[in-house]
Amino acid sequence: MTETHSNAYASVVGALTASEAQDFERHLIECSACAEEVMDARAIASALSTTVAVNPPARLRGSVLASIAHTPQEQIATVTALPRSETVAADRSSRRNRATSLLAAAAVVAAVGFGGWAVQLGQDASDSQQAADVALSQRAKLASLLTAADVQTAKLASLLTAADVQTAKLASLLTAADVQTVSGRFISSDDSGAVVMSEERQMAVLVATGLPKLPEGKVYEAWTVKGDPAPAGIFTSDDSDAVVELSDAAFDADSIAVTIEPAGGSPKPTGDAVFDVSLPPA
Amino acid sequence: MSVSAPISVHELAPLMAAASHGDEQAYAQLYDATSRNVFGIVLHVLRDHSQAEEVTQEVYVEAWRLAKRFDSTQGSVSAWLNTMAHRRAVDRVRSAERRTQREHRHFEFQSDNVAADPAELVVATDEGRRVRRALAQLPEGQRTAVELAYFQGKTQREVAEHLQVPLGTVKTRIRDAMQRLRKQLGEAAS
Repeated sequence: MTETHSNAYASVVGALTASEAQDFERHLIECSACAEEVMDARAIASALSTTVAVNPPARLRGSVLASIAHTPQEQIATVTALPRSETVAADRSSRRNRATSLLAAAAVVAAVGFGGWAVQLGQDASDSQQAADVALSQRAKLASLLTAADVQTAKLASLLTAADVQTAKLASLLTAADVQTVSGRFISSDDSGAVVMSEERQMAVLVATGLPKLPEGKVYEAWTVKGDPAPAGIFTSDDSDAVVELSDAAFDADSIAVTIEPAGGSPKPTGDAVFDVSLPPA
Repeated sequence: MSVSAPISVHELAPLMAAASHGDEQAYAQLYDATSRNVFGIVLHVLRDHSQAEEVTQEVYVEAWRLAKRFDSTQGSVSAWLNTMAHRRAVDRVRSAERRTQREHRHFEFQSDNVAADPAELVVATDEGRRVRRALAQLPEGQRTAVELAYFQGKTQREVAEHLQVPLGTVKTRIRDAMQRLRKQLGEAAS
């Protein structure tokens, strides 16, 4: 049992320092056993509050209700279900599901990362505390998602949490009001991919799962296609999953394609596309 | 203000769902059903009436703002609110302690008496009595560890120092205490 692992119950009764709590939150993303334990124990900790119940002063009720009357409610990002394409045969539905759950995981991980990130900003700021509270519920969701989902999802989770900056950016993308998702499939393999974009946030990413490992000296290269393809980013298949930020040209492009190129990438595609999705007209 | 017919915990989830779609009346009912626990734990940790009011207000405004994030499959409405309230209260106590420690190096946090204003007497509810009985049945070392942490907002290291036992012992006591409580309180505790 690691030091962090043994902190599950202490976290529930609030006995961790801010930095211990932060470490533990990261740990929870990967440890479904702890996540479950915490969820269970939290109900017990919550019950402890009934032993010290005190009626609040009557004025507080009025004050709370007056405040909420002009407090807008956060509209939660819904992860767009991948559109059903007629060209996708029924036997590929499992892949589609995987891509969907992957994106859902990305959204949740992004939210979790966001919480941890906000906590770092200031331990005294109540807003950051709130972000941590939110991360708590998101984390629980992630835990159940991860235990249900496949290894790919878990890998993406660790991929995303590894880089806070990227996570924060993804969070912002996935919560954009105009976020759009277009799914596609890699040719002659088991892979699925999706392009997620938001003009409002000026961000477009390609999410790919189950990529085959490329031979030494080869990379995947993404292209924005409008007339001639333009380079949009290079990635490798080390972890079989990839989240690639695409160039701004993605917003004007008719489609996004991926080819296999020599290391370092090419200015023009040299092979056939292994992935190609048409983007809806702007 | 309290409601005449108490709302059972099982009716809270639908109220929360309505509140998440902007139903202020549902939220008022939710407040009536939950605020004594929220205010109670905040007051108990902070031991300052006006700060407790402030934090309780913050909790309910934030819970309203983030109502759509509540997920009933991940725990009860009470657990969600109480967790949020407890964390905020503990956070505030700690930042106050940090400030005070900077000013007076030998500050001791006095926490053995809840403010004894008769208007603030703890409300004896059935569940409260049940949980209190379960707490009382814990071995003393376990009970003290949980009380110092949960009700006084101490970190596990502070609890270890206070009780003069190793950190590992504190972790074990807290874990054992929570597991025993769970066994005693069973499903109804959530």
